Amino acid sequence: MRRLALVLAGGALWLILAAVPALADGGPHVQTVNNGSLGINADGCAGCHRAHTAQGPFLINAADETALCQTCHGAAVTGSTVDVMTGVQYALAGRSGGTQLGALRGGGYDQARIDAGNASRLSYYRNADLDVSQRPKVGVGAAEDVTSAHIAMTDNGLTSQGIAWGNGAAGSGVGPAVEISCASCHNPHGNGQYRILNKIPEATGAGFDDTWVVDIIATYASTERIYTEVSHGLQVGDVVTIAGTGSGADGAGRIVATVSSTYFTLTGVDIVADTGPSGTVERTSGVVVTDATLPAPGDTRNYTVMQVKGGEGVEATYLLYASQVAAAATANEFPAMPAVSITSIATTDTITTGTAHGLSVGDLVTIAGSDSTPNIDGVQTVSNVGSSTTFKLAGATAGSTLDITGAGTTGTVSRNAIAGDYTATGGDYFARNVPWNPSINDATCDPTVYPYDAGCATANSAPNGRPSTFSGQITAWCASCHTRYFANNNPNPTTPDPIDTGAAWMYPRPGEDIYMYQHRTVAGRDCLTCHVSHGSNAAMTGSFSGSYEYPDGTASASSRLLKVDNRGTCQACHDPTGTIAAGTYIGPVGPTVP
Amino acid sequence: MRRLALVTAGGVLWLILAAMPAFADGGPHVQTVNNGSLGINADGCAGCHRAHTAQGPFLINAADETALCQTCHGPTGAGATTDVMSGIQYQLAGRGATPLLGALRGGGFDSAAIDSGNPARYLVSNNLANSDDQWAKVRVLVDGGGAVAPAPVTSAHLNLAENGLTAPTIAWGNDVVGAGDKGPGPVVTLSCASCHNPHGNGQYRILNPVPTPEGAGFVAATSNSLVADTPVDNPDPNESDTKNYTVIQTRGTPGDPSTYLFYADDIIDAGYSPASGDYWHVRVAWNQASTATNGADAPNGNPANRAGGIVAFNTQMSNWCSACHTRYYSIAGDEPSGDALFAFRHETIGNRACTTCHVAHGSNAQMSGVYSADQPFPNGAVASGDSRLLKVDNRGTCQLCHEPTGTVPDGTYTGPLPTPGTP
Repeated sequence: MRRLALVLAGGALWLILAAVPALADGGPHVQTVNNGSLGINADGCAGCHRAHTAQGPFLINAADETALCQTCHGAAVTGSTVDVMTGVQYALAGRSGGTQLGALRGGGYDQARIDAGNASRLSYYRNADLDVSQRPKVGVGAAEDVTSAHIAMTDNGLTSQGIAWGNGAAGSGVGPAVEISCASCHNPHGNGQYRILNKIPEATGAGFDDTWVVDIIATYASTERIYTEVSHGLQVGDVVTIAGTGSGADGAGRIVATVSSTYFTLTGVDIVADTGPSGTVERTSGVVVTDATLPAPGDTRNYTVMQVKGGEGVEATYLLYASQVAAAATANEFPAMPAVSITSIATTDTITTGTAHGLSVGDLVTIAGSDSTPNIDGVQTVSNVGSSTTFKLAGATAGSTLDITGAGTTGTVSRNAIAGDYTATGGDYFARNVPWNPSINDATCDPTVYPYDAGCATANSAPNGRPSTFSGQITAWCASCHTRYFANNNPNPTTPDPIDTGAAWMYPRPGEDIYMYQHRTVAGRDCLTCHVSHGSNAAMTGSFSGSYEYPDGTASASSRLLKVDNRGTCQACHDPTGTIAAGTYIGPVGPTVP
Repeated sequence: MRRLALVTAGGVLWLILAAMPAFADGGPHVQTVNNGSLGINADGCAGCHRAHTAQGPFLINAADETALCQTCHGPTGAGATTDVMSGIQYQLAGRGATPLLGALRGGGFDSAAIDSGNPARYLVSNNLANSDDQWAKVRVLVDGGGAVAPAPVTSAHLNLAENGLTAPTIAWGNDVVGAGDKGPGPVVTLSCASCHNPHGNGQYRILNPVPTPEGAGFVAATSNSLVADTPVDNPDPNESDTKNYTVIQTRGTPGDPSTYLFYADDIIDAGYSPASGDYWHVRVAWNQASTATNGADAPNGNPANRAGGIVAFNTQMSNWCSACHTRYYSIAGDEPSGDALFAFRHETIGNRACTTCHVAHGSNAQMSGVYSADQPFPNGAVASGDSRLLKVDNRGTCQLCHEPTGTVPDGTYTGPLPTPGTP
């Protein structure tokens, strides 16, 4: 009997081990292993490098970086769940059984699964003037050959201009000719960054400038503000060097304390004098793109286009890991969150929890065991999140808050399960907001009503679980190379006031003759809203889109990493005719989330 | 034999394709494409916009709106049949040596082909109370060989380097209608998109339901001014969807689109000369009495109100113009408006619509007379020779309906000989 038990236990262990990926998330890319902080005994070096028999530069065990990366991340290999060539993530390491977890956010270098010909859009009222905006989705389709990619290679047959478009200072032309490889953007050794992105992306080419400098237009002693001539992409915490202002801010190692579109302040720096247009700010720290916590051993991250709206700071409320996606795919829902205890229900309508509640506005929650007046037990909608431990509930009418008339001291709250299609064909490539269409899971969200119900609330895309910062960080990162693509506000050329600015689509970038007027690249319109990072299969078949000029004037049918056929990417958000009524849905029948 | 058939079929296909305009009517301006209702995959955005390398505001691919529009609609463009600078429409978008279709209703911004010096008038009855008593026509300007011959404009809705005009840029009469001295109107900046929505919007001539010049003090309309359009698609699948933007009209049967000349190919099919057409178009045909339900100007097929909420073209058009020129709208010329400046106004209703007397883009009418040449604008400024977008030299525009002396016998014809024909 004992022997039988041993055999059974051994069999169970084998089954578990067989199902575990060969490598934890990051494989040989885990920062804490490779930097030696866990011990000077890393194994991963041997995975990619040869000290004396290397086949390529930097002692790599392949002819070049791309070939090396493809040994695990290629289409016909088994070293990673992530196949960046055909744009898919597999459920299990070894790609066992060929089961796919989902389509990669970045698209793919050889093929991508962007349903670029079947974008969806729901029109809704966005303000009291009843202006109409759009809630777009681009779903997952069949694998198709890419029509543009960040790297032209034999596999995709693409030819590249080889230019870092927009890199460099204003007036410096279209950008330098460069060569890039996987390691231009990623640090394969791990670095704690989202997608192991280099803090300072590096391309190879004469004239390529990886410094990030913006002219300063004024400083103000009364507000401690430093104004830039054009909008900057600085993030709170960035390390910068200020030079040439003569304001007291000058110096290296300054830490950015607060940011706005055209000004910032520094930690512990006293601006002693107002100054005019003089000086520069240079970011020296590189661009931080915050990552989520590493997955547990045996798990991997979720690199797919599937996301749920979570509560900032509570990672469990997001779909950050492959195991969560797999479980949700089976259950057809992202499961309800564990209940959190309520410690106070105040007549100010604020409900306080004992620990972080992980809720966000619009969440459907279940309250149980509460003791306030009125009784709030049952399914409710979150209308306001004051902090990680306080929130309010929605009232009976759209835009109102549930009125607590008698205080309470107990109960629990848990976020309800989020139903959806989490299978390999689920997800939203556009990811402008999450969920793209809140009406699907909450019928109280009526797009033809304003003010809209709390259930209509969406959040910024946050594949790292940080909706408040991801969009700004990733745009700042992309703009490290494509410097002059970062756009928000530019100075008004018709006024002498140095801080009179307006939208970059209305006022030109000073001193620039190519990247003059630009679409803003701020939250909700960040680079990854319109573009994928690796490659797109969008088809540019129209007369205009099919012969669209690069900034250097060369025409091409390249899809420019856009997510929708022709210029459907524009239409995903814009109806310039003003003829589409709120509530109008355009797209495939039976739309789903995520 | 089979190969020959294939070659022949290919040749026929080539001929058809080569003969078609580069773009269906509306080019990148088709509403149902741009609003996404046919799918979220419009191509036209790429025709005019650049997301990151735009050269003008609103992310357009030119220094300004007018320059952008001229890339297709200018005299040297080849992207549209309509040359709004020269005031002519070609048969094919590629232009080149292709024949003209006709003269544009709106005139042109640089030149226009209005035969403003030779209007025709047949006085049916010298009775000022009935505008149908005077039949009139303003022909298309031609050269000695009979070819359409645009002449430089003397007024236009836009002052451009090309036309050299310097009229005050005031939205005359703009303000809320009411008593008091509200002045002549605010200074504004106009561009093509002030009046037209280049993305298409289902309106006649893609007119903005609320025109939007820019300027401090400009009072925009608070409700839409709708002007019904004709069907985008030519019902004849073998013909182009390009519309007829010329002054060539025939009287149709209300409710039956096929009886109107809505499409360019209809004009070609009918064999009308590019020099035909009537700029005056108070009635269609000019020499035939109109009726209560038909005969009025109707480039969109709606000469009169009728069941189903159909509103007469003239009514809609005047309402639209009045969205900017608010205080010009008048239903009774003999009633004081209460406005100190625009105190009494010619009626702008019925067949006295704004577009009865004025063209929309620019006119080549000659204001050479002592009074007409220096008639001050409402603010007192004078731009000598400015024709105010009128269609006839000096104040011939007035005379086409009015014979104020009462001395011309009924049945008198005045004008070029031989008497102009139709349309």
